Amino acid sequence: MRVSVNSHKLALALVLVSLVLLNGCANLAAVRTFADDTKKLSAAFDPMLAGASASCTEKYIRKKLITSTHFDPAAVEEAAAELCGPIEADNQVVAQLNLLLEQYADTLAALADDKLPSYKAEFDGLTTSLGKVRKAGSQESLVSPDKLGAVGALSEFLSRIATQHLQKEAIRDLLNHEAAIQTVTNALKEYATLNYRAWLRDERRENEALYRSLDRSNETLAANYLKTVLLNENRKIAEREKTIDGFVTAVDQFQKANAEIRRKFEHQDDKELIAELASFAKEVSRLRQQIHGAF
Amino acid sequence: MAVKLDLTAEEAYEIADSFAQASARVLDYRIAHRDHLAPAESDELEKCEDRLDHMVVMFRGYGIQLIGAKASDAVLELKAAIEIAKAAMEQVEKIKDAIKLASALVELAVALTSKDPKAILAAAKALKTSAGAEKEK
Repeated sequence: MRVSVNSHKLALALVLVSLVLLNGCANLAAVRTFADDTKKLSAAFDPMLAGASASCTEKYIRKKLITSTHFDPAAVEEAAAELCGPIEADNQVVAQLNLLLEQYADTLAALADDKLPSYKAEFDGLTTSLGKVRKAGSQESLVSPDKLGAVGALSEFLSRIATQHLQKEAIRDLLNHEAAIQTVTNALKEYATLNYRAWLRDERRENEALYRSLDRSNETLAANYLKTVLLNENRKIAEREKTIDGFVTAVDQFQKANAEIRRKFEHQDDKELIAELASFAKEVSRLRQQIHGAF
Repeated sequence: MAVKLDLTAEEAYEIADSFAQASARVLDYRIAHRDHLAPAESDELEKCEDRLDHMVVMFRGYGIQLIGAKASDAVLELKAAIEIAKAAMEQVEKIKDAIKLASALVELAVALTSKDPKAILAAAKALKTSAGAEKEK
């Protein structure tokens, strides 16, 4: 009978534990979603870094191909590398900023991992090992299986609660650096709008001049072919310009979602927070589609 | 970066754009007058475009440095915050490894009591693995 009362108490404790854990899981699921979309946002920025360098190189080679009187492909490639090579080195500064955004997302995701506070495998192993310990000179277990089970469950519960507390504190601490992550993401926006957009603008402007120059060419076939190439290039440029607008909108939504998840960390079912996270996810999804079509 | 000017990122990009526009105008001129330009004149204009294009790259590069410099304090702050968060996770992993180690120790004790050489060897190996994982943390 005593065993039965203990079992009831244990069951009640487990129900309470489950309620606490369910609450915790709901909170961290929102953080996981936010972290996942943030990682996608960071990945969507990468093509812009390579894109600036490629834009410079392609523009240079195209101009020489169409307008140079002494066109030497190897020499032009070499000159393009000399002209545009420094862009890649300069980009490292911004690549590091984007890497930091990715690390921020990865760290949030790792902290919000629901496997982190689970010690079940470890305690199961320990209780199994303890179950093998026999009383001296007998085959009887030193600790009875029901007691072992209860001790194991309690240990797991206490460890889980302690870890969940630690998890939440660590996530809250990281989210508290809102101003810093805002500065970093603003820098990425600046790169996209000031730098990458400028390269695309140059490319489009020059393509228009090159297109006009082909109107006066005597070599009809070559001119028509190159006009087609330029037309396609300008379509690609227009698509890439759209990705800049998409990136800026997605970063703005990221910043709103970041602020909201920090503010309502303890109220994860809040409708406004859910709406912000959904808007962020929608903008990231739209941006990814744009990137997929443009690069 | 050889250029050290007291500019904002926006100003650096404006200057770069001015060079880009100038290069485009020279190209327009070269295209529009190509039938009337002597080869040497055309070559000289092309070189002029190249020089202007180099200035574009240089000032845009400078702009990137300025964007990075503005964010440098935020970068340091965020890097430190991420390290602290990672340390919290490592703490959890250490606890898990300690439990595994305790389990392996019990297994070894049981094996020693049973005096079964195979069981002792297996338990000793498991203990070594657990201790190794703990040490790596």
